Amino acid sequence: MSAPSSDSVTPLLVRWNSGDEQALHALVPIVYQELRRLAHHHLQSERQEHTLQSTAIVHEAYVRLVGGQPLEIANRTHFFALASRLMRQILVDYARNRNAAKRDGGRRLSLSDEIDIPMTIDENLVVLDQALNELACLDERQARIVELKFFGGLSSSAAASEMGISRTTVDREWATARLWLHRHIRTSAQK
Amino acid sequence: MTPERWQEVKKLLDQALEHKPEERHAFLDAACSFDHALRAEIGALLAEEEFVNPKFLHVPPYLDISSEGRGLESPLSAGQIFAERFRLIRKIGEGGMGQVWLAEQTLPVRRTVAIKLIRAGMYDESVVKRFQAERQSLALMDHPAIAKVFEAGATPQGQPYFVMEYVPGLPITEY
Repeated sequence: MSAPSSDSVTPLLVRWNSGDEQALHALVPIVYQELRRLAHHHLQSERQEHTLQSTAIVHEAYVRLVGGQPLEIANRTHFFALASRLMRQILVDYARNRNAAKRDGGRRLSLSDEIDIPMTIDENLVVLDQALNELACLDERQARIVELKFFGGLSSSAAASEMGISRTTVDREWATARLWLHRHIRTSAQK
Repeated sequence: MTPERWQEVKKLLDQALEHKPEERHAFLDAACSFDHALRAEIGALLAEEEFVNPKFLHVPPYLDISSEGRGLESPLSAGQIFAERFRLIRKIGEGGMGQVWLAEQTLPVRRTVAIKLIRAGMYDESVVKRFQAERQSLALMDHPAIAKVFEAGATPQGQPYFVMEYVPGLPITEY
């Protein structure tokens, strides 16, 4: 099996950006496979810290799939938006599977016990995913900023240029979204 | 909450955050003088700051693979019956991919085998295919020094495994 290369991905990104939906259908499995492959590769290699940074994977996927090819900002936007969303899906699926395995093993963790620790624990990832879906119903743009920054690892200025808005707007949207998400998760856990 | 209401809340919350903490309440009292529900809603979100761990959403998500059993579907222990016909004796190896257990097969024949288990979260189509390829190539190599693969399968929970001939010996490093 030959690895997908910038020769196949870059034209697809360009076509997708000019409105070709077919190109998106071709692109999703390539990017998804590459993200999964990188995730598995990192999980397999014995590493000291035993953790896997999702954002590093998104960037690595970009370098591997698009590489040195010059790409218009709009096309890069699309790549990161797509990769952030797929990475979210991969991580949440993974967390869900692990949670199911833990439940089967009778080692269920209570949500309220974990709620004020950073969003790095499997259980919280699933809860965050649900809260983010609900935020998207209120404010699509805010949910997307969280997705780009948190799951895609983009800086505020990168997210701003990816979305075509100012960095200040990103930071403001982020600050209010963060408070809303935290409150939503915390109060849902208490119910 | 409706999207329209959230836009209202968000706008004032954002403005309140621009103020110094000690000025925020006065700002909100003035801005929401006609809408107590709005005032309460924004006040609750502002108060949320006290609960927010600074790391919340600032530390990228990562997968913790250091937990017990190293990510196997469920932790295995000696004496346990695996896949209904193998009694696990002891763990003889562990690596990035998963674990290898020494086991006694009870059905249809009684023999000592080695069972290789792939770590959870690592198996999708490609991993299973690679294992199948490994099985193929090992099956082709019929040599006394190479372990034979008896079977490959998956538990009802979807945990892929290999049953191999157990070849006792010194680790190659001690040979």
